[in-house]
Amino acid sequence: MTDTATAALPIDLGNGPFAVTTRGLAKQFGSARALDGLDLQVPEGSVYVLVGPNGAGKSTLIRTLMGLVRYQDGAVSVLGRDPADRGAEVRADIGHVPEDYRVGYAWMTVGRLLGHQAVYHPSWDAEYARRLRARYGIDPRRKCHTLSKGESRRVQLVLALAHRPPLLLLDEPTDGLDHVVRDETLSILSEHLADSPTTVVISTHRVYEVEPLVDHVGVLSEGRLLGQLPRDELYGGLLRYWADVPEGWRGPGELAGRVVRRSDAARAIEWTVWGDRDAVTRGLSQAGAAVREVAPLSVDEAALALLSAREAT
Amino acid sequence: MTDSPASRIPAMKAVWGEQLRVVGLAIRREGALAALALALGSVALIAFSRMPVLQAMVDGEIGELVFDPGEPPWGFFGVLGALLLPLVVWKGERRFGDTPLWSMPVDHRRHALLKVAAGWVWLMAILGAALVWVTLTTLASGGSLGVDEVRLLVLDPAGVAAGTPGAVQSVNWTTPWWEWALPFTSATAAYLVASTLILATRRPLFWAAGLWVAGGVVLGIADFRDIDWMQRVSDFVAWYIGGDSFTRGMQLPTGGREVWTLLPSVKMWTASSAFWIGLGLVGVLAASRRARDR
Repeated sequence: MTDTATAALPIDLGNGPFAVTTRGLAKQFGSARALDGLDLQVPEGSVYVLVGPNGAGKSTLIRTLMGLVRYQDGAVSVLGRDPADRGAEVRADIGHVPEDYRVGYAWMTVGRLLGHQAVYHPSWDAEYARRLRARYGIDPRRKCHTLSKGESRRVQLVLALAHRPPLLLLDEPTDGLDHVVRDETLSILSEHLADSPTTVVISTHRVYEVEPLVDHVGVLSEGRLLGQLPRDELYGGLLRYWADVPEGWRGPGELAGRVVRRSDAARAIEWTVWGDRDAVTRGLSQAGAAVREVAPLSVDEAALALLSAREAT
Repeated sequence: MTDSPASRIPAMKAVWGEQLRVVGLAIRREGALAALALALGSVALIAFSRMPVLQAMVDGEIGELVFDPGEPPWGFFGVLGALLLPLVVWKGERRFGDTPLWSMPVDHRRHALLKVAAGWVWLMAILGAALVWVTLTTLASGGSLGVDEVRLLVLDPAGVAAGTPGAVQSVNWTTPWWEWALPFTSATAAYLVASTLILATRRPLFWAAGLWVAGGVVLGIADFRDIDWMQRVSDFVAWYIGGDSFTRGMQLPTGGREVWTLLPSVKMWTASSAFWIGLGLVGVLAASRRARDR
């Protein structure tokens, strides 16, 4: 409900090992703060989804990790290296799908573009690239400027995956993909993760599209993390409570949890609370509420609840 | 969990080769158009110089071709092409945004310089091919390469108007060897200066036009207000380290007859080339810092 409601979510993921960390990362464009003291921790081998509304700082963060944006304050470590000092080495280890779906060299054919990428990545797996291209149904003779938004996205995914990088930074990777291609993409990503040990950071404001892959969640708003935690912890800790309450019910004086969202009717409540399930249930019951149902939220619903709580403050 | 970085970073030789290929692909359409124009021009020149029927149509205006690389318009075409080339070399690159060039595992500044260098190699190759082509066209049309003429050199400018004997001297002039290198040096300087604008500014054409207009205004004021020191500076820049002396030596039309106040020399060419190419190199190196990793 208040700022403390969202601040209650954990930010610290422990001791790692982490593929990516930032400490107090700050970046300002003019007077606008894009990143405001960000402390990111992406565990090695995890699929970390970065959720947030447009303008939250997701793309700026990813571009900073790539060494495409110069940060002003804080510290960054990507696979043990600072992209500001060792940008080339960092980019060698990253597969990147940028926010902009337009493929860089619009005048090239797809085949030539893949060949271009292969030169820059000695670990390029040409056979894998060919298979991915075939699965996506992309004709290598097509000029890049003739590709639709969805087709461009598919080409970008092939470019990002085929050198089997240890880190994937995917900025809105499903943007522009239809349902069929999106499912195919998730399937390709799953197989890729099974074949190649990879850490994945996915930035999106449509979490439901990638939810099956995700094992860690970070919620970003106005350049700050509202929380970052394993998905299972989010499922177990952020719950929705439906309860019947007497007329004029005022709620518990104290609750062993933080109310993130509440919807009160005359004789029923629907609260989203971060806290221990038993303790919260006991607290509500002791205050006179009859808890009918408790259910976990999907990552998408959880993100929405956290972000709307933030906006309400 | 990562491979050693060295195994994932491309060799500079491979990157250089790829940049040569990418720039070659980027400029091929414009290059083909230029080649077509050159070929059509050659055919027309040979036809008009060899066929009496066509010669009669233009009253013999197109006679024997003389190809002297130190004379207009050869230097002008090379410089114009070199000024425009960076626009094509950087086609498809969002220089101040997320571009494929910056996303690659190569130091940004080094990558930018490699691309500029690749463009220069293509410029030299195209210029070389064009010169060979013009040479062949000249020979095919029965023309001559270089000039062998008598030039009038002014020794006493005041005495020319007064008709003082000895104010003008006749000099036998043959195209010197270094004039064949002049199109390459002038194009190199122009390419580097244009590349500086491309690397340093978001709107290079706007800046080029602005600098051109600003220069014109300054020279206009100097001329109109008769400001001596500004005129000297502009004369120095125009004649001694650039402008005409740079692209084609120095020439002064007087009374319908061309006389020379100073004949082109290897010293002048070396000095002006060193100045402008040096300026272009410093500009490119400084501008490439905008693309640096941090």
